[in-house]
Amino acid sequence: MPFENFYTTHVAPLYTAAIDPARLQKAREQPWQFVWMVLLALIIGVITLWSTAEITTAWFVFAAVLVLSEFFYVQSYPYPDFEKPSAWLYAGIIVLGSAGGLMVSMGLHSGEWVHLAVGAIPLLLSVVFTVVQNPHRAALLRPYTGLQDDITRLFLKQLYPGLYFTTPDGAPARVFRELEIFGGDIDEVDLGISLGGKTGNTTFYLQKIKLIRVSKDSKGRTSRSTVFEGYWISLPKWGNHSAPVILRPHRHFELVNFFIENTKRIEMENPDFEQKFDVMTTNEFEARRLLTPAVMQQLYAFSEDKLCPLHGIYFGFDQTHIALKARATIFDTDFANPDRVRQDLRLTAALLDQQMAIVAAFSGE
Amino acid sequence: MYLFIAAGGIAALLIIIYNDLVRKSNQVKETFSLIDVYLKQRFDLLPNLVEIVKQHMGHERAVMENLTALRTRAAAPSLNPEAKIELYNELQQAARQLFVSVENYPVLQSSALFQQLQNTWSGTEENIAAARRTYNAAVTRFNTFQQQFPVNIINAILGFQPATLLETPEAERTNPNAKNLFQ
Repeated sequence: MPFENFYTTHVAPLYTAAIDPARLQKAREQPWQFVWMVLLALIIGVITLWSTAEITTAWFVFAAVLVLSEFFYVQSYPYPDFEKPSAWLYAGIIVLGSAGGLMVSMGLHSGEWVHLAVGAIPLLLSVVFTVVQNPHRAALLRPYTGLQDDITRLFLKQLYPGLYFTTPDGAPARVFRELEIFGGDIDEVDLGISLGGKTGNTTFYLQKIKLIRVSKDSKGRTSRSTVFEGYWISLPKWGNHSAPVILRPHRHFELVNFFIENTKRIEMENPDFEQKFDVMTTNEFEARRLLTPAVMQQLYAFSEDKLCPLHGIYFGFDQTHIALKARATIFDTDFANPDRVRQDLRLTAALLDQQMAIVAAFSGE
Repeated sequence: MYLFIAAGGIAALLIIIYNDLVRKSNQVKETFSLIDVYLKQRFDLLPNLVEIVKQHMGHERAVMENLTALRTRAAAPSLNPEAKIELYNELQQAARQLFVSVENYPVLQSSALFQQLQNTWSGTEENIAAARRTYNAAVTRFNTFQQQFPVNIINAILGFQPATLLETPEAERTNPNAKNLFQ
């Protein structure tokens, strides 16, 4: 199913259904309740002043009613369950309001204006905290954690039926270093979203990774630099080679690596391919058997992709590991914003299309 | 003193160049022997192929005669490398025609023995193609090294001859079907 059809048929209706008119109406009326509550607190304060003729007591009563009003106002917001304010917000309102009210009362009693001024600040803050809770936003949106789950589930089901979420399988930095695909030292690996999938009889895993080098300068300051950021695909062995074959980005001759690396570079017949990649192996014949001229041409085409180009491949004895360079992350979007969702899901689809094309090529499907 | 150092340097250079020439020349021979191994594998399949084809396509005279003649030539005890390659190219041509003709013989096409033979045939085909490319790469390295300065001057004395590249048969120059690339 093309992406635009998918969005119009499945995602857009979810957002339309998410707007509940009754809740929206309630949310619009809600701020007026707070105004009435503040007025009520003022009236009670004035009545107390009239009956007791003590401004401290009157103020104390006003502050107490105000704090209670704030508490009940926040509690009666039409929040969806997931957005219910935390206990910290209630505690904050009560503590700030009570402390502020108490200090202002003390200031009025002692006649010290410093107390009065300092007390007014937390009291006002408690009012601000109460007011900035935006019931409109809550009413406009359906619980979007649920919406996010619905959309990602539909996205995979409709567009990529073979894919599912998995727990990231963290390979240590040493593994990535030994594969010789990535230049330089790798000290840390950051793992992102992880997907598993099946195409025909081939099971594969797709993982967002960020390989990081940590270095220290002469003053002992630590700096971190990204060696590689992209996707890591693991597939069963492709081809029937009996020696490891490594395809890595073309580098200039490095004397140090020449002595360290177990494999040697071989020159291939395709000049475009040669400019892009170095082929490293312990057995030249096996590498040429695997990388036929036509396969090289296709791999070169994969490396020319703008969004998610092929970075390197490790053709191992048991598995094939493919590295694709990309900074974009799949399903990384603000699900509260329908326009943003459309744009970011389109990007996710483009990334997955390229990745699936490579998976299909190396699974013999 | 300086004369001795210069003479020593020249002698060392000569030794290095000579050893490198020998090493590269041996690589060429070694990679050609790889082709030889796979060509033998291919020729060994021929009697079985002739036998099974005879059972089902005995009346296809041209195909049969061609295959039988190739089998007889392949069985000759002393074939030089060039003759082997020529024979291989002819065999390729004949095999292509045969596999096309087989489409008219569904019984033969579905025979397990024939399918197994066909798979082994294409397996050796891939091996021969890779071995040929490995050989050509070794030849290119060897020939380029000989033509570089100062190896070209030294080689004029040592007398290493350039090796010959193997040409790709016409049939293999055609564009492959992209769908089958990764099968």
